[in-house]
Amino acid sequence: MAVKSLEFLVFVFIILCLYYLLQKTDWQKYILLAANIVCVVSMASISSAIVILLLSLTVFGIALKIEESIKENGGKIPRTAKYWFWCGAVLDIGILVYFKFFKNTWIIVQKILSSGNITIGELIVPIGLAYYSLALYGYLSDIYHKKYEAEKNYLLFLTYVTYFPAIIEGPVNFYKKVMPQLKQRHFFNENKVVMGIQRSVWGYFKKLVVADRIGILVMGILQDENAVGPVVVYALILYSFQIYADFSGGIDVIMGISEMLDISLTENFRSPLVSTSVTEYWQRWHISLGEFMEKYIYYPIVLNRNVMKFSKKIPGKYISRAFSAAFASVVVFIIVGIWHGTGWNYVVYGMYQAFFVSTAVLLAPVYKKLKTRLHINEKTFSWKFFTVLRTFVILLFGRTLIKAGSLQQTGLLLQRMFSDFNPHALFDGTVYNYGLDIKNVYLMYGCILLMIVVDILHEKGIHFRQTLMKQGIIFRYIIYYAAIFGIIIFGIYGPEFDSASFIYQVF
Amino acid sequence: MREEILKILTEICPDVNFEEETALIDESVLDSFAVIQIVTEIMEHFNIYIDADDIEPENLNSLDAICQMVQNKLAS
Repeated sequence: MAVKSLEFLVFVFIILCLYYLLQKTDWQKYILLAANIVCVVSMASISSAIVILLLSLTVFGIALKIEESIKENGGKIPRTAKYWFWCGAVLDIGILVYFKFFKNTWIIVQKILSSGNITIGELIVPIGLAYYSLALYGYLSDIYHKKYEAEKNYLLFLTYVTYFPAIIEGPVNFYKKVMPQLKQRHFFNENKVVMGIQRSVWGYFKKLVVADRIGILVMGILQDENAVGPVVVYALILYSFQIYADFSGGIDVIMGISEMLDISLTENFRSPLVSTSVTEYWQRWHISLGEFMEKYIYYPIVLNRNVMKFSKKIPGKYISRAFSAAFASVVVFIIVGIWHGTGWNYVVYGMYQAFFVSTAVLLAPVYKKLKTRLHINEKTFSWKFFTVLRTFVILLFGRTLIKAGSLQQTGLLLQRMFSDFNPHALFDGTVYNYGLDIKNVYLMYGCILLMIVVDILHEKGIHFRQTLMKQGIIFRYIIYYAAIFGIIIFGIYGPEFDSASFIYQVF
Repeated sequence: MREEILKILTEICPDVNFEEETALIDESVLDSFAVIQIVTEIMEHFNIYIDADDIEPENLNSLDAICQMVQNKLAS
């Protein structure tokens, strides 16, 4: 059952009906649990469900043990709690690392065994593992630090861990935000359901009409080794929009479904296309992952007594603080890099991001002086436009590391980018030979423009959905039908392009 | 104490109106490095230790919340 399939839509519809039919009973939350399990099994496999069941049960038990040992120690954290915490954390992150790093080893083992006629099952990364393993770590850490009480009802805990909208491609959930909502009863509210549908429709538009359309062209150009110079640059610019439309579109679908269920999740995007620096970009892109990293990695490193002791040895108050912040950023971004994938290209990707984020902090006083000397007014449109463009280009080069798939391929891709610079190739119709004809290319441009405009309006505090809700019913329904038929007519469903999965689903 | 904290905050982030803001963290008025600068300066000034666990919106969202956190730290 893929998110873009008709079965999924029917599934969501049935769940919504049951969810609100049982709104006056305690069964409402267990409808969610049933939906979660159906979703995990049908989108992935029974083994995915087993991994999630065992891991969540273990973390649930360990959290209770931690809480018990703290209570027995009169509220102070004893050593046993520390051991339990580390046991849980190592197990939780260990499973994530195992599936991420040793998948290749497993394939080799399979090959050796299959040569001796022994066949074993395929090792598939369990669906949502990259997201719920972080949520489980956050929960363990919070219980260890006595932030809230451990959950006593395993079924409810399992409902939280497997919450089906978020298991597909995030966002990373935070217990403190989601669990209180799961414990509440939710009564049918037409407004919320309609708003949720609107958001999901917008998400499907971004995914099926924008991302998958761009994907055909990007794939066509990058797979053609004769395509060089500006055509490759053009493909990589488009790839930046593709990955944004794909990921944020998926998140919009999920957020919309969650809104229909009256459960709000952490927002994952805040108009990242208008970021004026790499640091700002990471505050606007994949926000839930950023929040997790900030809370559980960044602050614990910077405020670690040993790190603080070391940084104090560095002369100058600002530099000493900037040093520890820069050091923590490097660690965070290397983790973010390998969270995305296991090759060296992902490590370099993390370091590349860390370079810009940490130098922005370390060299901030220098940049400030330079701007004053050059009489740069940061509030002007031209400066903002320049910084947005600069950030876009920096991130574009970063994405070549992800798109190429390996360091060697990245090298080749960069080589292709900078060879035979012939801008004419962009205007002589060459780009229409890669799977999208002229009409589709222009439709793609229009869609990208629409996405940018919506982001800019959001940034200015104008929210399309709220504005639409204030309009008359006839106008609203014309827009709804136009949007739905637009997606059906212009969406990409071709067998030549695997659009069934979201780019971020594989992480 | 309130005045001392306000002075620290304003020196680090001169553009922020700390008397008015009530969602310094929730609305990302302060970025993570600003938080680090504020927390380390407060630690040095009041000779207290602020743990990573204390970096929560409820402790840092407003000037009052920061004052309350420092008071609790001084009392413990």
